[in-house]
Amino acid sequence: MKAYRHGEMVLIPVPESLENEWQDLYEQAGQKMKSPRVIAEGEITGHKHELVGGQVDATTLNEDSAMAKGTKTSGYVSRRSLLRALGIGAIAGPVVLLKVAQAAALRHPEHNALPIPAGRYVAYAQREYDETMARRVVD
Amino acid sequence: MHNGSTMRLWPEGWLTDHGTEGEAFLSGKANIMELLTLKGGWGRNRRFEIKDGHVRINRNGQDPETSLTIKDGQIVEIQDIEHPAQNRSARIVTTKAWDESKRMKTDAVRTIQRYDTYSNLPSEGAFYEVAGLRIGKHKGVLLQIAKRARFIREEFVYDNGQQAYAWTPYRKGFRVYRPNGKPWMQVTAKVRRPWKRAQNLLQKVQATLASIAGDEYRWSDEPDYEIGLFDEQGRQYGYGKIENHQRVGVWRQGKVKHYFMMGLPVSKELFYAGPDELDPREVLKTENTQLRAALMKKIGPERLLKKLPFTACDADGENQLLKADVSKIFTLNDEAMEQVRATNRLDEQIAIAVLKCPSTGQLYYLRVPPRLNKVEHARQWLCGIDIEGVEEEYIRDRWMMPADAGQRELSPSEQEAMKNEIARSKQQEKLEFVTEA
Repeated sequence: MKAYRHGEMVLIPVPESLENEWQDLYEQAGQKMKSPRVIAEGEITGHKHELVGGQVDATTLNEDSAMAKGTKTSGYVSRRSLLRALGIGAIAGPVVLLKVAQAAALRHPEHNALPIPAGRYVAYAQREYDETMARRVVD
Repeated sequence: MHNGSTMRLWPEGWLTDHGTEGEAFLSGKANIMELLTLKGGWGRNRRFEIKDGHVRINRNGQDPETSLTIKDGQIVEIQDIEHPAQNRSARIVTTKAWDESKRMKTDAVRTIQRYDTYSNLPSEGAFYEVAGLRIGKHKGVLLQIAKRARFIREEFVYDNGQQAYAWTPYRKGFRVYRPNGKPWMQVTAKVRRPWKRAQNLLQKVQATLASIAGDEYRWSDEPDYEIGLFDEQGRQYGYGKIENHQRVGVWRQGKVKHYFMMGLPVSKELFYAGPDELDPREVLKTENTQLRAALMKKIGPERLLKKLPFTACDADGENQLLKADVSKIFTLNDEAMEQVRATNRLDEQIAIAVLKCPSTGQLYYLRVPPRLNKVEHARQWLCGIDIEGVEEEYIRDRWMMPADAGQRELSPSEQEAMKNEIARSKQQEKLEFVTEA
């Protein structure tokens, strides 16, 4: 499975087979972001992982239990089930549902710019192990 | 058709600034210029065709604020004047250029844009000119200059004729001079292209002169460079250094000092703490990975291995997977040890992946499950892949563990279940990083 990594952020392109589930979560469960172009912000420095150029929109799923009703499939789809279908395990912290309608570049003051082609993505911060659970990597 | 005449298109006071009540829409169409109001009010959807001439757009029914020069149906010059507010304290105006709006504190600003046709730059000379801007207290004119219809230079010239700075695409280093010709600021790297961001470079100069360690510290895409500020006598009074795209060392401006480690602002005490004063156990517990990496850099990998009994169980270039017994690293009471036993089923080890960032070249120390055996597996796990369920070696280990403990072989049904799990795991994909930065 293809992935993009930008510092501690991981972006996974969503395959066509999961686009309906992604769309349902995006529309029904996704929470509006202060700025949909900023997918993460440094805890101390405030440095942003920011999409520049292109056409971009995003919502965020803050809770692992975030759920939506399937519009083109029966039953419900959750953040957990979407990640599982992508082969991703438990993620600590928010998961951003990113819609790149026109190719953009992901920028951060300390990292090289990363071109992001048009498509749908799930984006999240890397995790880290601690005895009891995985926690989000913070920089 | 109105040729060569000056005309008023709207009644006084109708068109207010940037579309709060109405908006002018300009488009070139087959050698004919059209002006079209988009929103309600008098003149809605009325079109005025102008082949040659001048159009003045009055916004508040007072002075002409935008003036268009049209030649053969194409706009060749746009002149905007932003007037200062009557109240001095409210002299913050918004200037708009190239789809970017910037708020700045200033007097009246006059902006002139020139084109050969509506979309092309003139073959020679200033195509964008802003008067009324300042560096410090000194007024001047910002110019963007074209040659052979290409942008080649940006300049700021004080009202006394002294050039403050000149930016060109290939110049290594960037200098700002005072109105008396003495240096004021220096950046030792190729500065980012200000094209399409007119006034952005000037705002950066203003911000850096006001506070060298402020948010506008990043001047270049090069990994390493320095910024210096100089006083009237040419003595350096401000300094900052960028290494691997990150602020490092002491950034000073006069008597004010800021301390940076791997881009992080830290206290003076932490900055000057010697490697032997830092306890690697405490550092490993630091939640912020950037700060942990910065402190670990200070301790150094050799001293870390000397102080704590870590052994490298896999390496891939500079990336390593380190492991050590938890009991030898942390002093744990029985209850805590029980908890570790309960969660780490295989052993009581601590595992740390040391990974190099492809952009900054810095090493990061990240904890991973102690069951992992390879650097690549640690990378996959950190990025969200539960590698223990994907790689055959971990599935076998898990099935064999109770059998090994009891010194017995797996029953046929257990063997079958293990085989099925391995077969299922083959269908699961690992991450393949297209690009990393």
